[in-house]
Amino acid sequence: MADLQGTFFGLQLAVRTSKAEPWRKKLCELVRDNMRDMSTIDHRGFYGAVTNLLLEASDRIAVATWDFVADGGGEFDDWVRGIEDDVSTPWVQDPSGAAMDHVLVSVFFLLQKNGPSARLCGDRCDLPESTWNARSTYRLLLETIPQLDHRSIVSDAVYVTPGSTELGFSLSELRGDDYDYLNPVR
Amino acid sequence: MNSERDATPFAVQVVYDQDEVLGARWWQEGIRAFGAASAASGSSGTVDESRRTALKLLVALGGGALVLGGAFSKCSSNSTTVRSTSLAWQRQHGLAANANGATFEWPDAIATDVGGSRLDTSKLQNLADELAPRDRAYVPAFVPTLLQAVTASGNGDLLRGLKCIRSASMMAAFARGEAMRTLFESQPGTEQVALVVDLPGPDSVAFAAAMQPAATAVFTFDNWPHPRGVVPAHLTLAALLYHRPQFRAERASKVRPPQFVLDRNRSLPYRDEPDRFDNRYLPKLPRASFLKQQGITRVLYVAPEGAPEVEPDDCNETFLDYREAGLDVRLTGLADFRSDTTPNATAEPRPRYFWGGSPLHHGWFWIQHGLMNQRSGLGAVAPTQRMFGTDYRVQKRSVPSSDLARRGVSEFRSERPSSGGSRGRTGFFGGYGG
Repeated sequence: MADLQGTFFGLQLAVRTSKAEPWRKKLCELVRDNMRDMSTIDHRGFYGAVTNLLLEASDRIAVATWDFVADGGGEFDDWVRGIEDDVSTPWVQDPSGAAMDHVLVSVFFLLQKNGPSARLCGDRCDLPESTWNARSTYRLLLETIPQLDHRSIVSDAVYVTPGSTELGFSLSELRGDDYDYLNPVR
Repeated sequence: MNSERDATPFAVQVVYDQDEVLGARWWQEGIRAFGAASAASGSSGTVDESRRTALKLLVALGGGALVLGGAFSKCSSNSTTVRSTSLAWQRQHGLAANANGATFEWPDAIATDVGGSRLDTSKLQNLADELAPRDRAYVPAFVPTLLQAVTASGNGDLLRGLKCIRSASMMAAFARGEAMRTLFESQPGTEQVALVVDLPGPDSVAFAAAMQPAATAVFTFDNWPHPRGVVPAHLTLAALLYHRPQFRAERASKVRPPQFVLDRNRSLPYRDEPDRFDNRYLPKLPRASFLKQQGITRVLYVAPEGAPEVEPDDCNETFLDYREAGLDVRLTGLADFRSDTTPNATAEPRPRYFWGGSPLHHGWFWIQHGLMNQRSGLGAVAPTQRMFGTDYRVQKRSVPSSDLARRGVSEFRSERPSSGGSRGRTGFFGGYGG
């Protein structure tokens, strides 16, 4: 995917959820049911449904990050490769015995540069630094997704990690060195 | 840019459904995002750029967040298995990725195209534009993927060997296409009929060429050739190059019906055989709403010899959509177009084909397919034998979606850089993010 061009907008959220929780099952089913070619209308509907689920869980976002980069082809490439290159690495549970009650949800967009979606995200992401990690900011950013003009989305990706509802991250794992880019959400 | 009415502009590139991750990545066909020729390469706004610069500086000063390692750095293995569509894999790693020394073979190669010109592979850069539908209304339904293979990275072996081909099967398909063309040219109202030509790739191309100039060819070949490919897409490309002058000569001088040209080989059998490359794919046919916008009221599917009297599984959902929208969907078989064997048939250098094998029955075709009633079809004689598709009606079938979803999706081994490379997200964390 070298030399991708476009604007990057993405979020990665660690949501507290138990294995048995219907929310997680709903999220996984939603993603699984839409892993296919889609019309623009279906694509918008899919992201609307994903957003609704994430907003529903926004009080349970423990740590997270988001990013907006106007010349962000490289960032999009980095993020998706970061997940896809390691996708077959066998899952190793946190051996500490801590509760495995978190799931990482990643949503990434590569937007047509200067297109309506990129301009929308640029406006919505123009926030004071003091608010970057506020829960209200994550809600604002999630609410941006259904407003995107999907005709100006070049590429996009949704990942739920781990994929199995029998597995999960512990919070201490997500606060460790491997995930130090994730910030506590206030 | 695609409009909202396009069938499936968001093509899924990779899917993962396993313990480690569940998810997918999509790509919107038709939006240019590679290379320096971005349509909007200017500044995206001084606010964005200045903020980005400021954050880079912040990181350099140690005030920003530095991200090393990453989301899934749980193992130090130097290779990984990636599940991906074959086309996405070829786009990333080259057309002949994983060829392992295999080369393309060119049966039925011929030195020149149908116009007598020798093939110049250095002049194929605009092939997709050349063979785009002449009637621009049908461009949204055009799938240029195969035609873009001539400019793909890693296509050296393909271009070095590329030939025109003309096989006996193609010639027979061409003759039958000519017979179909006479039916379209002689009957008022055929501008409302969309043809779906679904023969093995080279034969579909030959049939579509023979239909010129009576129908607008809309190619839908959605894969790239591969030396070990399940689908011999390179032969379809070679057939296109043979018949190219006939398509180029096509002019949108009047309203003409579309013919959507499919490769029936797209669904050839394959079962995870490691010595073959799964370049199969699902067809992309326009939705009923699109066809109706173009004034289409009927869809006529052309099936190859020996095919069952039903549309393929991968067209069932689309045809149901047509039926529910009020489009009249019919089936005709290539085998019903036969050379005239009646005793009084004129001796011609090559046999002429007619529906039902005789000029007497030929005119009955549109009665059979509902475009003409028996009164207006005076003079036509019903064939004495049962014709293909007589009792056909689109019906919902139980099609295992998992079988379709697996088509053209494989697992590939991907080597990581020896330095350890990217494990999850690496590098600087810039931009606005928290």
